[in-house]
Amino acid sequence: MIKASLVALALALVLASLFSIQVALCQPDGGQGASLDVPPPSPSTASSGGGGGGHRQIDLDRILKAVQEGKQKKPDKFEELKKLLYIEPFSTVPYSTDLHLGLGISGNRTLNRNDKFAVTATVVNPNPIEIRRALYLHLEALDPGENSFKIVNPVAQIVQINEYKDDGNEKNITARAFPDLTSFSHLKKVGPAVLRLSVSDGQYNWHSQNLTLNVTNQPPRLENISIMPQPNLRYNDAILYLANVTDPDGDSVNVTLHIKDELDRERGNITQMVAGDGQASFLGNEFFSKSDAGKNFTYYYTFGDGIVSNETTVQDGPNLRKSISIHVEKPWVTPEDENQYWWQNYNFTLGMKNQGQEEAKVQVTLFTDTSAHPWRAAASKEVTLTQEPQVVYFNVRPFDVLDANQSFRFKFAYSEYDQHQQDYITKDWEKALNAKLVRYETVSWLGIGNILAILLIAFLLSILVERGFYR
Amino acid sequence: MSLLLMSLLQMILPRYEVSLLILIIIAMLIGGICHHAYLQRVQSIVKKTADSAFDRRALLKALHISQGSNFNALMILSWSLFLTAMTFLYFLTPDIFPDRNYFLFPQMASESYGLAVFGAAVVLIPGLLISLIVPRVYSYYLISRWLKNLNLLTPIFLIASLFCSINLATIYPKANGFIWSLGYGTLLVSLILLLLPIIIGFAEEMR
Repeated sequence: MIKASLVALALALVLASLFSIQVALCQPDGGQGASLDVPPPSPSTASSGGGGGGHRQIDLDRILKAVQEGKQKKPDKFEELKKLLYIEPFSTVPYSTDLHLGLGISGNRTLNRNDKFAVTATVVNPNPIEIRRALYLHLEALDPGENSFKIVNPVAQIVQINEYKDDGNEKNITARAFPDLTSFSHLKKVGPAVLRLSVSDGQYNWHSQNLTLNVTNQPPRLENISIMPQPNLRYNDAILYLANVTDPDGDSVNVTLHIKDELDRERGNITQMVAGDGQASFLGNEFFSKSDAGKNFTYYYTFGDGIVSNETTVQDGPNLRKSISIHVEKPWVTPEDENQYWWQNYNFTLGMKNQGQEEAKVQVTLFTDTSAHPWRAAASKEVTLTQEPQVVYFNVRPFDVLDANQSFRFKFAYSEYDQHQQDYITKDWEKALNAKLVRYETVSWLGIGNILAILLIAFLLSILVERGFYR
Repeated sequence: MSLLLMSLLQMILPRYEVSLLILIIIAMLIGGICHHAYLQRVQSIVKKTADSAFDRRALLKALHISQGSNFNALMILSWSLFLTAMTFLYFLTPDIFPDRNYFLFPQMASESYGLAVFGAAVVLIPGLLISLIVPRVYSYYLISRWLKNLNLLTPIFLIASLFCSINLATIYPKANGFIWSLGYGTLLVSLILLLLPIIIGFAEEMR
């Protein structure tokens, strides 16, 4: 029915067009002087409806004749008429369901969870454009250990009817990428993973062949396990547990530190996530208290990448040393000269004693602080403390010329805690260092010696240059 | 008003020690210009009187007068000491250039012979370069014996200037304007003595 209507419509258009051409051809042509002797269509023909078949035949003959004459005499117009009347041929072949579906990935089919890849699907649609339908593409995945496929892209990729092209080998081919799946990092199990393409046109459904990928995993490693600082840790020192984490696949590794006491009971644990290769570091202070001083602890790590879990052997440490409480007082400095020149020695003193009954070896370090040299270590020594108070002293020259005319402070740092649970004591010194820069007078051995040295060098230079270049 | 003018002038003009340093540099430039003008003038006179074209190198070779080893050595010594004395006067204490002075090298300045090391560095690095030029410059002039004898005073003036500079360093943070002026005066006199053969030679050539 539709076809018949279309044919009738086309015929009517042809007739109307030809009529127009005939009228145009019969018009006097002043410029060219070429006119066709074609009688106009009789009015009865135009208005006769279906009654005048003979007249119509005559008119058609005339039209055909006029067209034939026009073809010979006015080929340009004839070509224009051909273009005007041309109708694209269209197919009437039946709809084919024989779609060719392809699925592939970039790279190797054996891959680890973090390997990146791109999934590409191809569709070959044999149907001509007039009868094609839009296709809806879904990528489906069967993860290792699962029983059913899951749709990877919830929003379908759509192939419109005009989105096909010829690629030389195949006609009517199109391709689609699936950015929703670029790695298998989400997998909690490894093994064969299957991909397939699901296509629908609203009426029919198709599936591609399965694409099987082998997803592998290499377990993470924990190396260079250590505790900082070593040895002789105090219970309230900053105790740092360190371990280097490597995962050949670049997986994030979950590392848990377990601390065990002397009775092999777990004192506590703490977890850290290390992305790929890196260092796990744990501050262990929260697990130790004053009562742990003098006790030995052990530790181990458990670690995993979400698929493989492992644990290290039990490591020794920390061996917390017995707690000593010392008493310190009266930090003081006595300059060698009351003018406080930078080049002089200064006697720094500190009163110390052990609050316990036993002897205690304590490392004491002196630091000085000026704006030119902030907290510079000046000297250090080990002292043995008893219950008897003693004065620990450092007779040193801690300053240089840049410290002249600056105020200073100093600090004694010691390896045990004092009565205030601190391991240092500071003291601000009110009086600034003298601003004098040169330690000697002009008329002195050093003053004269410096000038003589300069003269000697200049004299030698003059003799050498004169002898070397001007003789 | 006058105070305002004074403060404005202080802002615009460098401190007087720097102005005096500029004076020394100008004197050295004048010496250089006199030397250049002297050579140009000799060259132009020879050009006028010569029958044929001549080579400038040949002219310089012809002008060369041997001044004697003692004089050459004296001039090298004097110029080296002059550079050292000038550096000491301006860069030994933080007074004139607080951001550029000897005490910004604390390891050297903290040593007993730090001044000698500093002086040696000045003598050896720029002094050596000047030493390679100085005797050649003087060799183009006819220098009288009287002038040569006068130049024997130059190292003495320069040693006096060095003494003044070192004295200023040893009394720092105190300052002594007289000592500084004395150090500068001896330095300037030394420079005049060093340039005198060139200036006299140029003046005679002009006459």
